[in-house]
Amino acid sequence: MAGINRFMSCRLRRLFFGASVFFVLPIVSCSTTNVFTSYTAKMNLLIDGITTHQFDHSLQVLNKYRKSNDKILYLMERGRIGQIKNDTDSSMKDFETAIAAVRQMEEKAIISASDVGAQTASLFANDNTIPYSGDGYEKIFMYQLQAFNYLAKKNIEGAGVEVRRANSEQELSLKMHEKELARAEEKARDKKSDTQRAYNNLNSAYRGMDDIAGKVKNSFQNAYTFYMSGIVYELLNQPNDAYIDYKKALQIFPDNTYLQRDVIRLAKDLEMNQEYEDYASRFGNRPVNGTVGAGNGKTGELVVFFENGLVPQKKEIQIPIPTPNGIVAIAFPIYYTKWSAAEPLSLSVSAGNRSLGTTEPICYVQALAVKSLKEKVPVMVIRHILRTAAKAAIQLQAKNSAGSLGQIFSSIYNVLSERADVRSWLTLPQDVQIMRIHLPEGAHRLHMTHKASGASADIDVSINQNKTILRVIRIKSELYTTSITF
Amino acid sequence: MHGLKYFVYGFSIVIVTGCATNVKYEDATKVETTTTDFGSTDLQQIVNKMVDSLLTFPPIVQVTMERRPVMFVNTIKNKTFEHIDTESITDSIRTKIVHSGKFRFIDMTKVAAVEKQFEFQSESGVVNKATAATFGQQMGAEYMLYGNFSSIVKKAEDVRDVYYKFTLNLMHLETGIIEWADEKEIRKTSERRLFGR
Repeated sequence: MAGINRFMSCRLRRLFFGASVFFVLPIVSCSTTNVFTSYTAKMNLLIDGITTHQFDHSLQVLNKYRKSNDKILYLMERGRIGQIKNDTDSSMKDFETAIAAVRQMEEKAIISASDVGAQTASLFANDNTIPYSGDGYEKIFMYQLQAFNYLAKKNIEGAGVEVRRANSEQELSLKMHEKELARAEEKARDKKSDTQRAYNNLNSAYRGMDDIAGKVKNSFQNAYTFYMSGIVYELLNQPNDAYIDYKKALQIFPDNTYLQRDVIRLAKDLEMNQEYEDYASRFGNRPVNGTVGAGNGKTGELVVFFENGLVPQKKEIQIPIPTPNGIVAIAFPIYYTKWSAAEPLSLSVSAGNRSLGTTEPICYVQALAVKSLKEKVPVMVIRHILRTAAKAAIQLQAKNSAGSLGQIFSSIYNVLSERADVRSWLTLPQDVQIMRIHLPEGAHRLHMTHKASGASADIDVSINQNKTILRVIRIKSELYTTSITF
Repeated sequence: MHGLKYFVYGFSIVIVTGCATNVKYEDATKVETTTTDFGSTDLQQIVNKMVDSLLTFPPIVQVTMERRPVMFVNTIKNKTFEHIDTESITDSIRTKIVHSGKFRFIDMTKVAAVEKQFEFQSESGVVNKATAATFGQQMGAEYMLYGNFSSIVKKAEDVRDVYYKFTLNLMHLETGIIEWADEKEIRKTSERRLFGR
């Protein structure tokens, strides 16, 4: 009887193991193509294509992922590439779809079948099986770049909607992050000794990122978003709202002289006398209207957004993590990039080579990205500890039921499946800089040079009594420009 | 054997009915609560409240007793978190007021088209001068309708709360006095389901 029992349970176990592999493999293989090949390798090919103006190829490749698990990520990349190409319609549609997907994800059932499936698959394979939901800083950029699309269409009210969404996302991200952190800490308390050692190992490996991450307070506050929203409010003739957003931007970037001027100018216009005095004494009595190159005639404003370079990419690092079955090397994502200072763009009037000034930084996207990864460490550690436990269990199961061959297979599977989640929005800039000057009404040919990369270009802008926005994107030594006159 | 046969029949019925899209006509004024986003019910509530309030306001009742003043609709400023077609709201409001027979309207969005038509009638030589509309006979508006549409959105992990406020003002152009104003507040919440896909 006992013999039969043992025989049965052995067969059952084998059956169970076979069945579990049968169920797990399809999940892993269908869920996304990023599970076994790295996202960065795939995207870098497309980014190289952009620098040689092969936009359509990149757009075509990304179009295949419209319905994939990581559609939010691919659509954000696609929307951005469309914008670099100056194809506002295509970019607008992509961001719209991405925004809808984010909304759907946020409103999904709390215990969602598809989520549970992905999380379970992540336990057996890696974090890449979890559908990409977008980091806080990325979602903020998604709304903001969409706002720019509306500006390009001269739909200022539509741009207003998007900047409001971007601003509320900043607040929400902060709140959500605090909650998530508290929850991860609670979970960590249950496995205190394990996680403590894991944290220590991870933190020493991540120390190299502190240099960059230390440049920002958190990964959500983005002065560029506030600045663009200030511009939109000024275009909508709501100076009071603009003043509030410029002030928020100034809090994050107090040294930006263009911001200082805007805040002082609006404090004066809105008769905020006390605040005007405060700002004027803090920043010195700068010329309230930076009338560079203004003649006697009528002038208009030129606002320059310079989106410089490309955000750093995540790499993989193996970090030893203690598990019930001993120390196991686990793949974590990491940024190896060193801090690179924001190199300014110089503008001059082509005729006569008269200098108009240089741009000043308003957002270090590189720091937001690195900080965002650091903020996710507690949650990541928990998931990795659970995963190593699950993988060890499979290995044991394989050994017990399928003998040494099973063990070899499951070991190979474990090594192959251990991939760090290096997904992130890669076509974002490394940093953003602004400039704001007055120019005489009429057409101007401007010359732009970026000394650090050797990039330079000429652009014709037309200035009227309202505002002209000039957006310059630099990728490697190419400058991509758009100008919108309101 | 029979059991299997019926099972297959049943299964194929499930598949067939499951795949067919179900199209139905619904009452256009039926309450719609698909999402917290601005929807048809919100539009109808705003229009009904605004027009009823305007037409029953005593001074307006008095003014419109013996004549039908002319007004025009300026834009409604969209200050919400959604891309809302505010022209669609003002269209509905205008249509409802016109149907009350109390006011008449001129349409500022069609000025350019009207000008073009005048030009055609007077200068092209194609139109019989006797039937051509004479220039300079249009009526000037006495009142202007304008307003704001704003919203406050609060999101937590599992709740979404949206508050809309629609404000409409009626200004007497000559005096600049706001003869009437009203607002419609709408508040909607949605909770994430516990279980689902």
